[in-house]
Amino acid sequence: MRAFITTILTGLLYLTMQPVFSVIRLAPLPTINSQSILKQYEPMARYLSSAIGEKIEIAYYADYRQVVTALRDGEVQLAVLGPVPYVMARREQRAIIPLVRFLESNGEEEYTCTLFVREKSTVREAGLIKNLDISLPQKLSTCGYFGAEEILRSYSLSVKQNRFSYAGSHSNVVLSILLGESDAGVVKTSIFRQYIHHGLVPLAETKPFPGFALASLEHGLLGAQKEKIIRALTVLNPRTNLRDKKLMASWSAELRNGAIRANPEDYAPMEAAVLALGEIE
Amino acid sequence: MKGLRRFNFRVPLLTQILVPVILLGLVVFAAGIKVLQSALEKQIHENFLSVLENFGSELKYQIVSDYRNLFLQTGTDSRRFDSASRAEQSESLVNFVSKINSTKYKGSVLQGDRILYSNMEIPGALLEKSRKNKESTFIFQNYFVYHYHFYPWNWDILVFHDNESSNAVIHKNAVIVGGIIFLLLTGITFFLALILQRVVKSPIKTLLESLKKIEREQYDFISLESSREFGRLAAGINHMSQVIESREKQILSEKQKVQKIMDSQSSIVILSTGTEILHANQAFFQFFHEFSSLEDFKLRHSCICDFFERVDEPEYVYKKEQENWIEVTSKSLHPKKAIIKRGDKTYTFNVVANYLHFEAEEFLNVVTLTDISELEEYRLKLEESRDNLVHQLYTDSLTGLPNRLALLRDLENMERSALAILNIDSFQEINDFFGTKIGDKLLRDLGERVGQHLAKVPGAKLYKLSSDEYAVHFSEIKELNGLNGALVAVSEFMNEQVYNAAGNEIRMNLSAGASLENNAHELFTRADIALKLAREYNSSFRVYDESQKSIERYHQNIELTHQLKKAIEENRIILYFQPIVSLDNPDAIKHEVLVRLVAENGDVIGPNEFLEVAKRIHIYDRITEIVLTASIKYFSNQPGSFTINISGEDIFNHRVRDMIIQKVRDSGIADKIIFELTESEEIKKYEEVNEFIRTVKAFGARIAIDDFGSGYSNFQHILNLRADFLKIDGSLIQGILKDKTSLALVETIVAFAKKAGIATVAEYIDSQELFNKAKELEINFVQGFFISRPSPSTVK
Repeated sequence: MRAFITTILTGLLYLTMQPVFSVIRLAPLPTINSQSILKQYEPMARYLSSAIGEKIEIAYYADYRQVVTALRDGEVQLAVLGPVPYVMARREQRAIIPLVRFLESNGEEEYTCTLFVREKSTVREAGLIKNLDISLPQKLSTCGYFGAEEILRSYSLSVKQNRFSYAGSHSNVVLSILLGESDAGVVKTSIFRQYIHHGLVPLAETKPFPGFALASLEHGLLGAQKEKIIRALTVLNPRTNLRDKKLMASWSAELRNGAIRANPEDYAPMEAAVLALGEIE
Repeated sequence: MKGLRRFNFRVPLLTQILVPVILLGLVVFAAGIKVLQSALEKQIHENFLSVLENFGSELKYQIVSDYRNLFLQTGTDSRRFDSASRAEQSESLVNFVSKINSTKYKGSVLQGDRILYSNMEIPGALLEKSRKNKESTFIFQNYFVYHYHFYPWNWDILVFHDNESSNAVIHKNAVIVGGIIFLLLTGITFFLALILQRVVKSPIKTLLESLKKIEREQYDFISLESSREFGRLAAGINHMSQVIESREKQILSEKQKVQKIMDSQSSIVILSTGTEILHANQAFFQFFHEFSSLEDFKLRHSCICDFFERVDEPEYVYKKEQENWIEVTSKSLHPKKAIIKRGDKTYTFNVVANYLHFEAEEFLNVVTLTDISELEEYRLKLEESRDNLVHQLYTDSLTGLPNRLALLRDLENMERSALAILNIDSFQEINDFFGTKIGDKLLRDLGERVGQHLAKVPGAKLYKLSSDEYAVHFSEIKELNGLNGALVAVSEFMNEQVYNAAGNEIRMNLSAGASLENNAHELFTRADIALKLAREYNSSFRVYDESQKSIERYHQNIELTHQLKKAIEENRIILYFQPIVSLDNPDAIKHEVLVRLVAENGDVIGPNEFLEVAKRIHIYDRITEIVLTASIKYFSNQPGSFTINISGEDIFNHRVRDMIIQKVRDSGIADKIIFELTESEEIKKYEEVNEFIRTVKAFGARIAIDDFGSGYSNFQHILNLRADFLKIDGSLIQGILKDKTSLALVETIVAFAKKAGIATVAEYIDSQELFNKAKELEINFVQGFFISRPSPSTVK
């Protein structure tokens, strides 16, 4: 009888210690346009709901700090974060871990950023990027301040020695260089290659960085729930499986190329680089 | 008033003002037109360039916008983009031409050196200038020019506007504005000249005439109907002339008053510049009656100080070279004196000089000489009688020698020196045998002879004390050897002396006690002790030394021992109680039990004065027993607990320790008893202390550690002793308001005690500030004069 009661109590204690969610809430990439982002994330949420057998809701936040707070407070259990926002969030909350990381459109696990100029520019070396106008995509984009500083530091230079501005997107960066509004720009290498025929000249490239992460609080989900989510996303292969490609066609661009299981160590070199960078401006 | 003659004011005529002003206006007009034209030109050019820039920007944005759309749609596909780009170039060129031709502007589009479109001839230099910037607006020859370089197609877009129309606008505006300014300037000048003529010139003329009359001391009233300012000026001058007239009368009246006041004084009063007498009163002429007037006096004397007698004391003034006696007197804090001899009589004057500062640089000295001759005489007499009285006070009337008071006065500022007190042996018998008259004569003779003998000893002075006692102060003697030598000499001298008493020859023996000290009190007391010993041991003289000091103390201790034993027998060992108040619960009051001895005369004596003796004569344990027994009895019927001090000696003494344990066990109020134990090195050493604490705690008594933090503080040791209370050392408590170290130490002790579950007590709380601080530091109990002084009863 005593053994029975002990078993019951232990079971109850175990249950009270484990988080139980009736609904899993997912925070998409924080952007200004909430409507379009909701539209692009809903297909993936539907897929995950059916794959793991639990309801998944989208919870929109405009700023990555709000996402970190929501993760910490248990308001959301999943969040898609760019590489730089992910490592910054982890610096604030060590319990945030990546479940999967999303692949590039060419199937690569990592990507680089390229510093470039116009063909007719008088600047033909990265070591001469000083006192110039530099165009960058976004503040927390990997190829934004972070990528540019990574390149210029290797030439003992800094973004701060130039006038820099954020064009809003990679293609806008290319356009501002072509129109002569900026002297140099930094974009994702894969995007740079798409526009190279306009007479653009690459000057330098960063080392490879891991892509976007689907992050969770370490104990924010049950172990089984996490496994189901990882399996559901890594099983898809849009490059070789047409049905998967079709399924993912309407997903947001950073999600639709497939994913692999991720570990915090994957982002460790980047975390060190962000730490060395200090404040991102 | 003379200054007004130099002021020659002439108002210029209308024409004298107008002509130069008009000429000046023309010059200003000519220069103004030029400046105005330049300013207008700058402003208008900026306006034209701004309008042109807006138009050029519109063209630019159209091309850039079209290109942006094209790029975003087909930018990644090179073939599609190139073909669409070519079509876009043609369309953009057509749009440009169409827009240019619908405006007053001219324009060109160039691709490198190739002209794609132009409706005017483009100078080469213009192209060179415009291509320095990506986008710019500037003036080139007769044109305003806008330029934009469109990188993607390598286009230079130029828009022109000729500036002839702007020049016409500039010229026309400059003439109009210049004319208006000229007319305004001329009008204002003319208007001002009219006002000047009417409002200023005529009233000033009238005012000048009035001022000239005032110069002649004719104070007429000015009637002036003019503007407000001149009306006020006239009123001011009228007022001024009235004031001057009334002041002159007032000054005359005041001069007369001053003379009357001076004359009314019985003292001599003179007004002087410091070097010359200006006025003197009647008393002056009464004293110096040989002079009929001040001028008469001045003919023969330059200064009243000619009459002052020379007295070389600082309070007296007399005529000195290179010193102004009036200045010296006026600066002196006390009145000066002067002596004047007139015939046979000598007058003493009190001299006071006051320095009066008038307007500007005028000043006067008022010197008063008050006759105090009678007062001086009286003062001298008083001083003489006072000196006599002082002399009597410090002199022995019988012998004429300085007395005891004189000795005490002389010793006030003494340095190390010696004193001998001499006493005539058996003088009472001499007195009884020969009578007091002979006895008095002998005392005088002895004083005289000793005095003669001592006259040869440097620094020796003889005093007569009471009845048959004399004292000799040897101010030059600094060593015992010297003192012994002097005493031997005095003793031998005295033994040789033979006195005549009613025809009988008698010898008088002296006993002497002497001391060599640094201060008067000890000198006197110890010489007296030495004299007593000399007489006790029948020696002719004795010098005080340290062995006698211990004898002195021994005598005192014997006395105290006797008193202490008697007090125990007669139950005169009593208890005093001092409350210990809880800061957490003010109703919870404890008391520290303190011991007192009531002397036979009723004085209450504190433990410091008798406990040491009690320990020495081994009755300390008896006092512990009395205190403990009485405390237990008292608190059996009183609320609250009490603390009682016990020493290491009490614990190490088996008999006392057993007595304490037995009393605690049998008391029935063991839980009310708190033993206060002072932490010391000896307590740390012995296991017996721990054993004692364990035993009494087993019965319910508690332990307080007294004076914690003073010298041997050891937190670990306190834990071992299992103390219930820590009484923080009073010297630390008294320092917590001013001394940071004391405060930090007390904070540490309180924090430690809190963690260890030991209550803290602050002693010596003697002010509201200390009480508040103890409360702030969260000390549990307080004790001290601020709460209550020890008293024979407890607080209920």
